[in-house]
Amino acid sequence: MKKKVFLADSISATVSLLLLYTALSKLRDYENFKAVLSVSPLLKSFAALIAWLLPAVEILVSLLLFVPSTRKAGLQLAVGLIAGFTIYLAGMILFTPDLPCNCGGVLKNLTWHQHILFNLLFILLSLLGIILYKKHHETMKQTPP
Amino acid sequence: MKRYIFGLMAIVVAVTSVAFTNPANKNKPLSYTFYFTGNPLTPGDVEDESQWSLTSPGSDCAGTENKACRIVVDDDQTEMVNSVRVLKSSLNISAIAGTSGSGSGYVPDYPHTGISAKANRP
Repeated sequence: MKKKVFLADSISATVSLLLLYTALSKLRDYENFKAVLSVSPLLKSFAALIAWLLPAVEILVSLLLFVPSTRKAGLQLAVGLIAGFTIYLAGMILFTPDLPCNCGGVLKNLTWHQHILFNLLFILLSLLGIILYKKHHETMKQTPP
Repeated sequence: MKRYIFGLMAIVVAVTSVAFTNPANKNKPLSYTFYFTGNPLTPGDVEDESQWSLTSPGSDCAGTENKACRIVVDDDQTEMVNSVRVLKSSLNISAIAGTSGSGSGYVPDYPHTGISAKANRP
């Protein structure tokens, strides 16, 4: 059982690392991030808002992933967040593949397709973490005090 | 406490990675959006860096990619001339025919070193 929690905690930390890294990279390159959002046909109307709201949400989710009691919820939110990014990426591939992804740090060097694969990997990883936490909680409930 | 170790490691790695990946000047935007001001039917105009300006002409840069409209360039591809930020001629923009053929206009060739994004118009 300990192994499952250990694995789930490792997954939480990995997802937390990804979100925190991309959030800090976006805040560090705030002006550049906002500039790229402002030329995106899908997001240009909300560029200023998204430029700070997105990193703020990423930091919030990484904080949830830091605290053991909120890790499962953090992973669930991370799945939603990364799935949202993936849908946006798919939209960009379909409509404006020439625009860059200002995804934060070294991730902006990935191509759209590489980025989708990367996101899918993290979605699967997060789902695995959620299942492991769920199993752990079920076992704890069944175990007599 | 043991369950916080991975989280703490993640924070340390994230902060140090960000600190070392991009040492650019934080007070300066890393890229600029330039708008095409020349004749999009003339490939020479599209390739002429002086025909691109930071001032938006107001037209919407969206739709079929026939005519040059907007590019986002890295900071190091620009310079200040008489207090105006302009494209360096070393950017070497090259023009290609738009989606509907050369009769409909020219657009900057992309991907191109120094240009991080482009949007054209019908």
